[in-house]
Amino acid sequence: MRVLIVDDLNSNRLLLSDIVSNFGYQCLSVDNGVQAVEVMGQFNPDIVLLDVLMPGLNGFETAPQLKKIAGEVHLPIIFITALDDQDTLLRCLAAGGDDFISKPFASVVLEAKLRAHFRNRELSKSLAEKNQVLAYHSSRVEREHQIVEHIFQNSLARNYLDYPHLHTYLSPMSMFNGDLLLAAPGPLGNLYVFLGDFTGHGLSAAVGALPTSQAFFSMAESGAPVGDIVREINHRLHDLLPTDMFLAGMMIELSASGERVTYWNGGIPPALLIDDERRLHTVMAPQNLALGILNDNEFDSRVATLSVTNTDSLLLFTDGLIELSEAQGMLGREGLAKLVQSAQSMAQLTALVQQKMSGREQRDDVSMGWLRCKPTGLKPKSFDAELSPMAFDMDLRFHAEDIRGQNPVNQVVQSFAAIDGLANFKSQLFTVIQEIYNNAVEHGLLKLDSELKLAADGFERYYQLYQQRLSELKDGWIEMRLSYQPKRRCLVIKVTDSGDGFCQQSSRAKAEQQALTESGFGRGLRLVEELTVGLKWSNQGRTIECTLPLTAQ
Amino acid sequence: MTLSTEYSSDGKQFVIHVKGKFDFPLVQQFRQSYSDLNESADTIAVDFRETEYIDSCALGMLLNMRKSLGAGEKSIHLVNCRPEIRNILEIARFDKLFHID
Repeated sequence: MRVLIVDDLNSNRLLLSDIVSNFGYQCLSVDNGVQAVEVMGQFNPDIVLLDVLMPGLNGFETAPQLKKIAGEVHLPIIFITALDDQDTLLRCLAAGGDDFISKPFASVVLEAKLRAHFRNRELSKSLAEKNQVLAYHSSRVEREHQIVEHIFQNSLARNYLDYPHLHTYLSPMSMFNGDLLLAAPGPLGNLYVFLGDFTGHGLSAAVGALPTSQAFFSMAESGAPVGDIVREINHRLHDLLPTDMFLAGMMIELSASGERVTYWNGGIPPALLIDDERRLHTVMAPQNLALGILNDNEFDSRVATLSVTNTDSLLLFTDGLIELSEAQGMLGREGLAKLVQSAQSMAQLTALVQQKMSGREQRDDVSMGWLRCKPTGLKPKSFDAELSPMAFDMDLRFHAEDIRGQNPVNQVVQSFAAIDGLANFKSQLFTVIQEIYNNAVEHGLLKLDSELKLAADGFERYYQLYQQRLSELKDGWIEMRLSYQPKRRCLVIKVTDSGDGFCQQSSRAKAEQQALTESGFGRGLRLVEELTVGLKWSNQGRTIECTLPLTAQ
Repeated sequence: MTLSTEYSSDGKQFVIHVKGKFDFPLVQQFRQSYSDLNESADTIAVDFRETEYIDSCALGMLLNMRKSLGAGEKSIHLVNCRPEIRNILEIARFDKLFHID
């Protein structure tokens, strides 16, 4: 314990420092208030014994200054005074003194007072230290929350909540939301929406949102089926979350036409379908356990579908909405239905819900999404790469033994698709080249008659015969010339076979005639005719030539 | 596996997924996939989302399926078609026989 003694009288100083030193305490004596203020920083006393009447700065003036320097940690000041009138004592306390001792005094009393005040000082010190630690931790937690919030925001940066036919309202209970509403466009013009509700609230509930949203966005981008996406999310959460934590979730996919909803629901309340006459239907009831509970083998990823029309809307919501507290119990599905029927839009519904919530403590995260089943208007994914400017001709010749073993079309298409800008046309390239090649093989080399397909089980028989003759093929060849002409943005395809040729007139006529029948005959060349321009036969029907335009459809 | 099938969770829909190329090598497998369909399934959907190409043989397979399921008795949906594939289905006028989405 360090004791600062402030007294203008030398004799008093000596007496006091003698007593204090005898107690075994360290002490420093100064003879006026100004000096006391000066030595404060260096000596850092635990207790000050302060004389009241001093020249210059007296005790009443010195005390507040010392307290100020001491800052947050309590510095006990004991006035030593010969005056013992009530007024003086009150002034001592008013000036910030904590106690006083009147001269003359017994040294045991002084010691007892010093000990008592030192205990206060120690308590205050330990409190200040704890406050400091607490302040440090709370600023660290705040910083960490900021970082986590930043990560959450980034992980949801791809969230397509701006989709014009989807309106959402999310009201988390705390800074982090245990509910999740994700939307993403698929590559087919389709739209994926996921509504999730983690067990619990706050940060611990929200951490699972990261792996969930990552799986959702990457799989939606590649156009994965709903069942595959929920299976992946379940797999990730099952590995990651503690047993008592899981994610109730509903995944829906709206087709580009807006008429077909494919869904999987694990533990989210059934949605409401609002039809054009504002009638409400309960749809998409949960069929499964929530995500993250079952292992891969137990998990059921089967989906169901719902046919909707373009005037329908779907209202998806978490249980927080129907469990909103009301004067009598909870809002419930009936209460929600009333709100939905009296609201003309999502904005109005949101206002009504907020009205219900105001003035009451929120007990769960509340989320809802209103999806209008319009044609999505989302553009199917396309790659707008420039066409490679390098023109070339590719001559291929396939011999009987190669034709027997495999179909070369896939490799030809793959090598073309590797050229800049041609990946876009892979599908058409495949269909056209495959049809022309098949025509050359089936009719030119194998001499199969399409009329076979007209019989009752003709389709099967035709392909049985095809396989049989193909395996027996010994002679013959097919030549293929592919001229890539980037300036004309086209590919000229010319295929010749070693067969007997055929009369194009009758074949064409048959193709026309059969195009709309179910015979499966003549359809191949009709596809080629539609997908290409300038189709012509030569060389008595042994050579076919056509041009595939490489332009957007 | 390029061809996989599943029933919807309510058993009403039978879904056939064709991955990659939908052409001749799938003839047998495709026919078998719907050969012993559950009574409960009143809709069949062929999901083209992972189908890269189709050719006329695939068109034939689809027609064959329609015929063997009683031409129109069960409704057949061709779903998640990419524009190129949709184009081919439309050229073949399949929109008259199937629900294309």
